[in-house]
Amino acid sequence: MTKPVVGDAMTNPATGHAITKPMAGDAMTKPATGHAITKPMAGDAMSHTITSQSTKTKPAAARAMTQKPVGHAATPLERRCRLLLHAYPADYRAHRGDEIVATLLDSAGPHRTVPPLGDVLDVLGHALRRRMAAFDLHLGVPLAAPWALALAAGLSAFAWWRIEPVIPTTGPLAYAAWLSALAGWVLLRPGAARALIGVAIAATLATALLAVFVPPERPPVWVIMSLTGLGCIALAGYRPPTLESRFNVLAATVAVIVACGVVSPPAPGYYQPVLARIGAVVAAGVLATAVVALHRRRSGQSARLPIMARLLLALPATWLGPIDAIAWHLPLDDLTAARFGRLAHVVLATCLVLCVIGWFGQGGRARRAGGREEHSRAPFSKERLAGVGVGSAAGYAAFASFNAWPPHTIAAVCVLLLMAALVRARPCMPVAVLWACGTAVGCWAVGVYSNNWSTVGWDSPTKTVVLASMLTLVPSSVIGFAAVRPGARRLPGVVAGGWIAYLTLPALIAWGPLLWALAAMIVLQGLAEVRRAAHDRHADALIE
Amino acid sequence: MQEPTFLILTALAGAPMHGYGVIQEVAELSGGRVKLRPGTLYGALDRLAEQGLVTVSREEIVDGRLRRYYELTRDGVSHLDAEASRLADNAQAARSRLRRLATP
Repeated sequence: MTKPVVGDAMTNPATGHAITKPMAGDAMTKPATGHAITKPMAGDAMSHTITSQSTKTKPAAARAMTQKPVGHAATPLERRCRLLLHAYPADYRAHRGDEIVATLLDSAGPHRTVPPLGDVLDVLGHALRRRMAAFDLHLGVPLAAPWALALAAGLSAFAWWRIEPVIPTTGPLAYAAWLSALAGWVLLRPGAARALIGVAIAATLATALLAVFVPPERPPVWVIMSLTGLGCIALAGYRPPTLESRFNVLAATVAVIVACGVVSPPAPGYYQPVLARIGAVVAAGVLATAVVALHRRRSGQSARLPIMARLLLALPATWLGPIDAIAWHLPLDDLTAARFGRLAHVVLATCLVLCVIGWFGQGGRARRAGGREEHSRAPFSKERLAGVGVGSAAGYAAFASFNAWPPHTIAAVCVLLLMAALVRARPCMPVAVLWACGTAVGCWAVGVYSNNWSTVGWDSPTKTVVLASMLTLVPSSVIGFAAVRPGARRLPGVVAGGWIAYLTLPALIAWGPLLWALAAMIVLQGLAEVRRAAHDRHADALIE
Repeated sequence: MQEPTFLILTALAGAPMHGYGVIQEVAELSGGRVKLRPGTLYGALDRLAEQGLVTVSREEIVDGRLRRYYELTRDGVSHLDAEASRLADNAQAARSRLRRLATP
């Protein structure tokens, strides 16, 4: 074996011999040489160590090596560990990725091809927490958790009490689980209460599965989604409750049940009695707490976290409260009615909530700022945005070419391509492919959902394609959100906003109450931004 | 201070250590009771570094794997010292009560 002559050779008692690189920058060019010849011999404890003594500089050298190790082909285990690492935000991955992979590999042992399940779950959990921390969500979740549980339990009790006798479903399985989770919260010790929330989430998902095997139908998808969403918040933000919060949650649950009973159903049918009533109550609850949060703000206290908590609750809550445009016989043409149903409401509400969370979160990022700000901007780089536009256009077009090409669809594809063009950058290919696949799969899922869960023989492909066009709200929101960030190009955002308005404003009257409130919040936030910008310009003018 | 955090600081009080070294050392210190997993370990190290209790001492690459060694800062040493005396005092109090209980 040839001994490499790189830097000064140093003997390391643990590893046989080692190559010491005094400077990180220098190490960048050579380590490959060291590695190419240092394939460890079987049965030989000798391995080669390259030490970088710099402690403060970024480990650029180290990274360059581990990512392209010559003579050290990545094992399947290492490839899987690196894949797993994508759960972390990009800037964290750049900072910590290599050592986490190394630790995963070390602790996995020599004979494994996949990392142990415990390690995978642990990494995923911490990665999620890290991603939420980027928006200060991890601080809002514990505040929202007790109310999420109260809403879920109240909703369950009401549906069990008033809806089940009329339309039997597999729902009672989930409803009972939620009520026992509430009882656990009020009465039991923290560990048991937390486990019961987990059981309730599992039971909620199981109702859909159970309905395949027994005669009663499953509860509406949006009810299952809302219960699951509320449950996730309750579980993620669980803290051992104080005596006061035990009583508060119980009282809030009772309030939700009573209020649901009082709100009279706006129209007959399945969805209206369930969704509209519960949705209205949940919306009122979320709005009331939001008002309290805003009041705190006016009185000079920080309202960031309470507002964040309300926004989190609003996410599953908006999945409940769409007002059915068709059942209300609103003066909407077929096309608009097809476009704006429950799906549109859920997609629009989700996008709006995430945008508002993003705006509020930016404040937290700006405070931490420093060198990491550039990394945090990476998800909205111009190349990626162009990729989002082109990819979603391609995905939707692919779905349409198997079904139909009404003028509305042609317009949607053109608008998406226009947005991508206005971003003025070469689309990032991986992002484009990802969005194309995601959009195509999403459109297909919408088709299956809107055609009574059948995968073949759709009656009205045109209507399905128009309905699926509501998914273009997602890329439009991403591009619109990116456009209001400081220093971004505004024109793609204007087109995106126009397209969102065209899709949703004709059915404004069918929007649920929370959607109204969210839209108002966004408009107010926008006005505040404009006023601040004008104020800054005025101040600049004065200085000059 | 929670037990895993205390054990991580204790492990680093011996000598600078890389991630996997800390995991092994903590398992040994706790008699196999505390098994740190990578996500938890690096979450704790992030927090400790943010509080200025630990810092990176050096980095090396062994068989293409990055090993970043951590050591206690001066703050970390005094923090661990204070925590250890607190725990020792508590243990002392418990022992003396138990002795009194045993000899009526």
